[in-house]
Formats: sequence, C-alpha cells, structure tokens
Amino acid sequence: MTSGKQNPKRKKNKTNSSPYKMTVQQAMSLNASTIIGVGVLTLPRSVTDAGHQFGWYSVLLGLLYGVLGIFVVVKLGARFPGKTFVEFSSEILGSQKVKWLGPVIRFPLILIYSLYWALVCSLVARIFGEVVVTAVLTNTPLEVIVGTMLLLCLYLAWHDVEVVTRVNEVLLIIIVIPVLFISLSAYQNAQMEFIMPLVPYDGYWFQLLQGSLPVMTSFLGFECMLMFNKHLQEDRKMMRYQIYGILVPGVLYLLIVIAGIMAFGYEELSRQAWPTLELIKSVNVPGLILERLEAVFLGVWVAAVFTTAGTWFYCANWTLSELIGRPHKRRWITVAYVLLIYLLAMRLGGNVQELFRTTDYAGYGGIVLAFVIPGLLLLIAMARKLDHRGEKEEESREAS
Amino acid sequence: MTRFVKPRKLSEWKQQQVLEERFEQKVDRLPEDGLTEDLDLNLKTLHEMLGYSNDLIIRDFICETPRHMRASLIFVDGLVSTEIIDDQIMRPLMITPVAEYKEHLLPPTEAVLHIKRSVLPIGEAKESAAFKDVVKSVLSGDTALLLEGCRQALLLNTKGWEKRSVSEPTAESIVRGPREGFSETLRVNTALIRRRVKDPDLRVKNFSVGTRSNTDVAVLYIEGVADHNIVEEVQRRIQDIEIDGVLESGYIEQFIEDNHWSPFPIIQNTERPDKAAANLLEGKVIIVIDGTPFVLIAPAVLSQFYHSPEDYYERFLISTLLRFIRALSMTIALLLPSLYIAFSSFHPEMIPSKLVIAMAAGRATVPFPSVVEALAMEISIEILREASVRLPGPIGPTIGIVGALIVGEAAVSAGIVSPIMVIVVALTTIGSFAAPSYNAAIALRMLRFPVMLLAAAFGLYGIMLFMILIVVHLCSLKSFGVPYLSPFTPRNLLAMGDSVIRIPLYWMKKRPNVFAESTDNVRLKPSSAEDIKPDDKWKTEPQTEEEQDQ
Repeated sequence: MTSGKQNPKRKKNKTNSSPYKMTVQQAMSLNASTIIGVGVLTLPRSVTDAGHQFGWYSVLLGLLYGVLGIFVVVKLGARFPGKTFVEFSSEILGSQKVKWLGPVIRFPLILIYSLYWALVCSLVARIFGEVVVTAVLTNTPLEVIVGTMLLLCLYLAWHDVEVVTRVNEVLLIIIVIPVLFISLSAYQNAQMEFIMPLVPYDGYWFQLLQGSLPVMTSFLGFECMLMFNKHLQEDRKMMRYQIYGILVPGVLYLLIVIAGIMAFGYEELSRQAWPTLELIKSVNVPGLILERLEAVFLGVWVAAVFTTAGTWFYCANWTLSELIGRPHKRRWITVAYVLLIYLLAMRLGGNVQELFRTTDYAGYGGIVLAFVIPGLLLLIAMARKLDHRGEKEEESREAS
Repeated sequence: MTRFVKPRKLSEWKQQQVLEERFEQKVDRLPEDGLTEDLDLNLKTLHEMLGYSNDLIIRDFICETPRHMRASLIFVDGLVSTEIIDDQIMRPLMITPVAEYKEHLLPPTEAVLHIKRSVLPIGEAKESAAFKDVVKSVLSGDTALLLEGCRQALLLNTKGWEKRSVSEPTAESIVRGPREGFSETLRVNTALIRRRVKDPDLRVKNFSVGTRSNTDVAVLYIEGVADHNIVEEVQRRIQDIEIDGVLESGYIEQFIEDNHWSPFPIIQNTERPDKAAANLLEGKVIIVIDGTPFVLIAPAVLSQFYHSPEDYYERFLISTLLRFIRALSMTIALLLPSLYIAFSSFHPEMIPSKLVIAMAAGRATVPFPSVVEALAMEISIEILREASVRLPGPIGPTIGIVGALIVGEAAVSAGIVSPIMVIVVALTTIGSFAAPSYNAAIALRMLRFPVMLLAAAFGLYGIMLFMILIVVHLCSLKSFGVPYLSPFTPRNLLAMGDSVIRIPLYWMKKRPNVFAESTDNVRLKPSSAEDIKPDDKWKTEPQTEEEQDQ
C-alpha cells in the first residue's frame, strides 16, 4: 500500500557528490571582506604618524605588498589544488620516503598558524568591543559585546565552507556600499592645503616605508586563502579576482586616509584614538534624515568585523581540527576554542594603549606568517618541483 | 544534510506498524487473483472488506449484451455521477441486442473484453482481477462492473462528485492577470496548467500518498527544462512519505522541505495557475495535491517571495518600482519597530533635533519604556489581525476599524502610547501585507519580536547582530540543492535581472540555470526582439493606408 514499500531502500543523498568549489567572485568577496575589519578605524592615525601628509603613499605601498602577498599565496595554493594548507604543508616540508617526517615538521607550524588566527580573532573582537563601548553603548559591559560577537563567530563556525563564502559574498555588498558612501561624503570638509605638497621630498621616503608596515598589517586576512585553497577552482581568472579582492579594501583605505588628512590635517589626525570615527562624526547628512552618522557606520562596521573575526575563527578552528584529525564541525572543540579566544580577548592588554601595542606585535607576527612563510614554502615547492596542477583532469581523462 | 522523514518514537513506529499490518491483512487476505467466478461470493467479500458501509451501493441487474447473465455494479454514493451510470453503463448493457449480434455465445471471460471494446461508450475503463484494485478505485469514485462467471471486474471512470467550480483566487489577488484560480480537484488543476503550457514535454506523474487517505499527488515539470536532479529528488522525497493521511499541500510541504526549523518558507505555494505555469517555464517542479487549491512550487528561493505574477504583465519600469516598494515594505515590516526602539532609547543623538523634541513631547506622558510600548502595541495588533481573520465576513472590517482607529486613538489620548508609536505599528502592519506571499510575511512578523528585544538590549548593534544571524541562516539554507539566496549568492548575473529589478522581457533571452538544465536555455529567439523596430512601422503603415485610400 505505502509507496515506500514498493521502492525499498533507495540511496539517500545522491546530491553533494562533488566537493564544493567557490566561484571567482566568491573568492574575491571572501578576501575583501576578511581584510576589511578593525584596521579601517586606526589606519589614518598609523600612516600619518610616520608619513605625515604623505601618509597615503604608505597605503599605496601597503597595497602593493598586499598584491604581492596574495600573488604568492595563490601561486602556492594553485600548485596543490583541492588541498588545505594543513595538507600541502606536510607535502612540502616532508619527504616521500619517510612518511612521518612531514606531519611531524608541519605540526608546530600549523599550530602557530591556528593560534595566530585565534589571537587576531580575539584582538579584533576586543578592539571592536572597545570601540562600541566608548562610542555608542557606553553603559554596556565590554564582556557582553565581545561575547556576543564571538557567539556569532561560533554560529558561523558550525556551518560548512560554502556557507562562509556565501555569507562573505552577501555581507561584502552590505559593507562596501555604505562605507563608500560615508567615506565619499567625508570629503565635504576637505581642505586642499592639508594634503599639499603632493610629492614627498627627501627625508620622507624612509618614513613612508616605515609607515607602510602598519598598512601591511591592515591588509592581513588574505592568508586565509591558504586554507580555503581546498575549495578554489582551477580557473585562470582566479588570480585576477583575488587581486581585486585586495584592491577593494585598498581603494576604501585610500579614500578614507585621504579624506582624513584633508579634513583634519596630519597633526590632528595622528593624535586621535579612532580617527575614522572622528571623521564620520564630522559628516553632515544631506536632507537631515539623520543628525549623525557614526551609529550607522558602527552598525555597518559590525558586519565588517564579523566577516573578519568569523573567517579568522573559522580558519583557526579548521586548522586545529584538521591537525588533530577531527572533522571541523565538531561542536564541543569549537565551543572550547571560542572560550579560549574569549579569555584571550579579555586578558590581552589592560587599556587601549596596551591593546594597540599588542595589536602591533600581532600584526608583525602576521606579516611573517602571511608574507614570509608562504614565500619560503613557495620557493621550496618550486625547488622540489611539487606541482599537482591539472592532475585531476588527467585522471578523469584517463578514466573516461 | 537533508532530513525529510520525521524521526518517530519507537512506540509510535510499532503502533504504526501494527496498523499497517492490519490494513495490509484486510486488503491482502484474499489471493492476488482474488475475484472468483461466483458473483455472490465476490459481492460478499467486497461487502466484508468495506464493512457493510451504507454509502456503498451494489446494483444487481441482468445484463443482456453481449449475453444474458447476472451482473452487478458497485459504486460509492456521492462520488459518482448517476447520469453516467444510467445512460452510459446500464442502458447499453440492459438493452437487448439487435439481431446482428452474433456473439451470444461468448464465454463469460471474453465478455468483459467485449463489453470494454464495443458496448460501453465510456472514456476510461480497465479490467482488474484483484480485490485490492477494485476497492481502491471504487473508493476513489470509479464504478466496478462484476459479471457472473467472470474472474475479472471492469473498472469504469464515473467520477462525478460535487466540486467547487474554478473561481477567482482569494489569497493572491492581483490587478491585471487571469482571474482563474485552482480548485480542489486534482485533474481540474492539472488541466488548468496544461491549458497554459501546451508543451509535449510537460510531464505529469501521479503518486498516491497516505496509507489511509490515499491522496493523489501529481508532480509536474517540463522535461529538458527542469533540472533532472531536482525532479528526481522531489519524487524521491514524496515517495518516502509514509503518513496515514494527507489533507492539504502543507502536509507534503512539511515532509519534503529541507529545513524544519527555519522561519522562512523553503517551498512556495500558489493558487494561481498562471504563476504555476510561469514557474514551470523557469524549470521548477509543481506539486499538485488532490483536495486543496494550493499547489507547491519547489525549489524556492528568497527573492521569489516578493515577486508577483503581475510583475511580468506590467511594463518593466513599473514592475521594477513595485518590487522595490515590496522589498522596502518587507524591510519595514521586519525592522521599523526595533529601529524606533533603538533610536529612541540608545541613539537619540542621531535623530534630527526638531524631531527629537516632537518625539519627546509625545512620549512625555507615556509611563513605559519604548520597548514595552512597542511590544504591547505589536502584540495587540497581532491579536486584532488574527481575530479579524476568524470573524464572520461582514463584521471583520468593522472590527478592524474599531481596533485600529478607535483603540489606537483612545490609547494615545489616554497617554499609554505615543502617537509616533501608533504610526510605527500601522506602517509595520501595512508593510507586512504588501508582501505578495502570506507565508513569507508570517516569517517576518515572527522575526520582528526577537529583533525588538535585541534592539532594546543593544540598540543598533543588537539589530545588526540579528541581521547577521539571519544572513548566516539564509546562506545556510538550501531548497532541493539550490542555495536559498541565489541569485545574490552564488552570484548569477543572468538571474539577477529578475530579482530585485525586473529587466524588460526582451532582454531575458536565456533561461538562468539556477533551477533549469543548462542544455536548452533559449527563452527568446534572438531575432524576435530585433524584428519589431518602431521606425519601420512608422515608415510602412502610413503607406499602406494611403494605398488603401487610393
């Protein structure tokens, strides 16, 4: 009678046979929205500190480094399609004869990466909390803000990679359009004399180089592509779109820094704790729908912070669980990890000044992990001629 | 992972097992070739199987064509059309054949075939030898003809119960478009769709769902347009349902949907045949269930829920504007009260100073914080709305006016709520009615309350937290393998033309492969858009007129 009995035991879940591959636009969005994070708020200060009114050259320099960095990361990943960083690092560092060598050598390296991602995630959550508590919700305890943000990260970490990429794709639009609007309208207070002269003279070149170091740290986030490499398509357009992914935050940073310099002048700008927030406070909205914009900006910025902290936590969790050989959706490990990050966030740095210093150190560590180590690995891979490009196609061709 | 068969408790499962066995026993008690040559025994068995129900009618008579023998008609009173039985079954059988008939001596076994072939002027007839089939078709409105000395019964389609005629759909009314709506009968509904899509590739596959209700379910799709993976998945999920009864399409929907816990509808329903046909052409699968005018459309994506069939009938600028308005009103329905709470209690500095004075003056007498005020108003408006649905027709609007105007006015003058709150609540309610689909509007109405609480706790930050939560949830949803947020993510530029905006029909040259197979994706022949150039017409038409004049 029941139709189920006429057709007993069918195969369940025929779909989901091939592993998920993200589109090039998704890779771009993932990159861009991971990069746009807390850096935006302090960037004008750190660049004008060293480079004075020429600070925006540092942003251009940093953008150049960023493009170089993503170039190395993508080149490295492209040699090992369908593999995460955890998987291919043991292949690069180990040997084919001695099987156990690779996993043993990679272990501390991957652990450092995982802890680094956990650290930056906690720093982002903490800085976010500090800003929200000082600027909008003055009566809310810091712990609650950090805690709710980390809970959102936890919720994201329970999902698959495809959800993470889709979330980033959707939120990037929600972030970029208002931020672009606000940073463009910040030009209403611009004064040309603050940014003159346009070409830096003698003594500034070294200072600009110095200033480009903090800019580099605000471009961190693309190193997540090491892990997401598993789900990248083998596509010629991939490299181009990944570089677009760096250019989107680059252009936003440039707009904001120039607007900041032109509105306040470098002397005032380099002494503010949250220069971008001050910039937005000075903006008038046409039509007087809203008196002030900073709450709206902070609202949008919640999404930006979430895409940064969420993706970083996702990577931290993913690396760790892949390292210990558990599926990365193991919920209790993830919960424990979030608790660790929460403790880190609340413990690091007593006041905002100390927090900034910790962030700087973490950033320098990040430069090593995002620029230097992938570069070294790429050199080793090139020297050892490890390249798996096009292997799957060949296999399938042989099979057919 | 998809779960569509509800997990049952062991005890329930066992109970169900017992019930099923009893039913099977009842039906399978007789051997497969159940019918015997003895008519009386056959009738007795049928009587016993149906428990001597009073609406079962057995009409004994003497059949004259093709030979003189005893026969019986079995049908359920009320399910059949007596005219068909009288004129098209009884009359030809009982009339004594004219002299040309030579087949008086046909053996009874061949008589059945003969009757089917050349006696009964009836469209649908099939012979069967099993009691199981006889009972099933009699219960669904067929008439069984049993003959003495024959091991086969003839099942004749005499369905003709009282049914509602095709009338205007009430839940989805539009200004411009066909006025026909689905009705409760499966065949009428599939015919309504067929009449709109006269494509030989349109497939109709029937299933029977419900161990006791034996409800007919039809799955419709266009072969070569619909993605065959989705079609197979839909059929598989429908076949896996093992429930006792299916009374409405909602039963099927709840069993085949991908996520039971989501507030958002993952399968769309409609009572408009034109909407169903348009969705078929987009490559979706339509599920028609007997006994309800609401058919299901699977898979569904979020952007469909603010689309209306009218969008394609009006010109594109107008429909684009209407879609913007609908998207805006749905946003208002979700967020306006919480924005009011957030702004008034956390960020008053953001409100322009003149407005903030007006708001403060309005709120001066209100004894509650804005969240209590908002919650109370929103809950009372929900009560009003629910009550006005249940109220008998003529009273409904009256109560609506009484509730909305008089109670609101009185509450303001009593100083319990502020006038701005009344505006906010009114806008929210109207905004949720602007959503073309009822189930999506309900989702927003439901989600409005947690956002209000979060806004009361964290201001704008709370609203953003909730929005991010919803975005993550929406991104994780899938409807039969199609991401719920497509075409926004994964981005599909071709399909984006028909999402928030609606590009002109002559730009939709290809069918986006969100739901459809990518093999045949031509919607519009490339030439047809260019053929019509206004300039040419201006040149040619006056000439012809002049020629006619001459």
